[in-house]
Amino acid sequence: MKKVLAITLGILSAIGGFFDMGEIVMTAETGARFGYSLIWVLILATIGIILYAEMAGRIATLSKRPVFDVVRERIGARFGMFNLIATMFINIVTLVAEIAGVAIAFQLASRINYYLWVPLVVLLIFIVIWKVQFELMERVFGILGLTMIVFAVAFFKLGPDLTHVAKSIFGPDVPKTEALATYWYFAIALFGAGMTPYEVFFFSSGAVEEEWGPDDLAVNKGTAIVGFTVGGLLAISSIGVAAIVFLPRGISVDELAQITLGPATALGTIGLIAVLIGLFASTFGAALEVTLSTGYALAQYFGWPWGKRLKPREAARFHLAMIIVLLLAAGLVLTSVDPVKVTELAVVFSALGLPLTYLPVLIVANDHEYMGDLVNGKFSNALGSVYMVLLIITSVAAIPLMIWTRMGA
Amino acid sequence: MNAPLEIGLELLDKQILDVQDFPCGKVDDLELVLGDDGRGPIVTAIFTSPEALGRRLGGIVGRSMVTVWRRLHPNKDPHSNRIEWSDVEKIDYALHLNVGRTVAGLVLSESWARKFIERIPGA
Repeated sequence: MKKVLAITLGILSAIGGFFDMGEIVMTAETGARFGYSLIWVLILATIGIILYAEMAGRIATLSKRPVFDVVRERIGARFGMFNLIATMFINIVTLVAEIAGVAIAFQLASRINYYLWVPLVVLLIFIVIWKVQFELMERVFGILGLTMIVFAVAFFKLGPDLTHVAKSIFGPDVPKTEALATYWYFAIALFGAGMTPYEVFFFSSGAVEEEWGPDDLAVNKGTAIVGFTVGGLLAISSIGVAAIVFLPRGISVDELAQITLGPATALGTIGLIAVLIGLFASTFGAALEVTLSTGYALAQYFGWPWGKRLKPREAARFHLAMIIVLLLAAGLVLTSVDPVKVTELAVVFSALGLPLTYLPVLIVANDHEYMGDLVNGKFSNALGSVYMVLLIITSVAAIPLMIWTRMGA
Repeated sequence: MNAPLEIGLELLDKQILDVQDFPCGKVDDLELVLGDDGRGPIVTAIFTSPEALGRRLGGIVGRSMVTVWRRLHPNKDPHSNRIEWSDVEKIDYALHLNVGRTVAGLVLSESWARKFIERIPGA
């Protein structure tokens, strides 16, 4: 039973982390424009995040120190600082998107404009961070987030042509109406959204917060595999739903409200309620993860006391930093930026910063001084290196493709 | 501590923990002294503060860290926290001190932040 509960860390990471605002928006847009032809990217991203989250969790479990702590010591103060600044920037843009997502979920349920919900949302995030125990937080949002399974149910209810789906995975064809550059721009955005850096910071710091020891290495592996596979399958279902509901009708997705249409069409009121709860849980869970990740990264770089297991007064700078970041992000939401556009920006920046997060993980996972005998095996290293090449290509191509395609317009 | 220590890899940027394992920053810089008898440099103290780190990093980021730190610091002419090497107990995954954090004067910014945090209910 303990092991089953332990996996909730992965489920929160996966629903809140993988299938978050970035992936919810990007999968809906992608399905509406490219049908099933980009599902392969999600499979790639899911395997990648499992691979690297497992490494990050293993590093944290064995050395008792999460990723950012090790980055500065092993890779250097200057690279660490560059990494820290980039992470802060990506996290704030991502947090803006997630807060907007939660507020819009409230708007859809209440018909009260989402700007009015923003202060309440920020207050709720603050209360959870201030008072709620780490394990409880994971479990509540992990379990609530499972309502996102509605996407998988809706997909099958809509009667997909599964041979067509399979064909599109192994031999994708770009719709004739779309430019090739736009196709690759969406591929990169989906990949960036799937492997958003805060996920590994949260996952590895969470392993320290839950005081994992060497006995928990199996749990670490299981958590990464189960959690992110669930997240990946939900994201694939979301593409599928959009491909069936939006693509044939030529509807483009430019408002978050549209993501409720698929489940509502397939399952009626129940579908609508489930998708609203799921939207709330996943964006709220992600907002918690991003806020905490920001505090973790800062505290671990500068050597402050950190952690949810400490009372706020015992880790004052850690908590103060999170309050500042929350207020900053809330202020940015209220500047009336377009939530969908901010989300797209966040995933492109994530894509840009991918190697900064994952390269140190790969290096440290091979360091005997931290890992003892449990350094990466040949399989993890071979696959890890292949992914590193993919991450670097994604990072290099992100900005040129964004400019060239005018953000996929 | 007679085994040779590779400063860049095994000393700089390590987590500092006080005698109660309370995190007190990182090893941001070192003080070296040349021995009189022609012996090589010996580490006599470690520095930890945004100033020490900022000077080491250099560039715009490093310089602005130093400036901001000087502005926010309550003293007119602030110095980086200096920890005597004799206060160091041992080095493994972290640098352990044999003194408490207040002795080393290490928690100024933490107590500064605590003043805000304490006012919030439930802290």
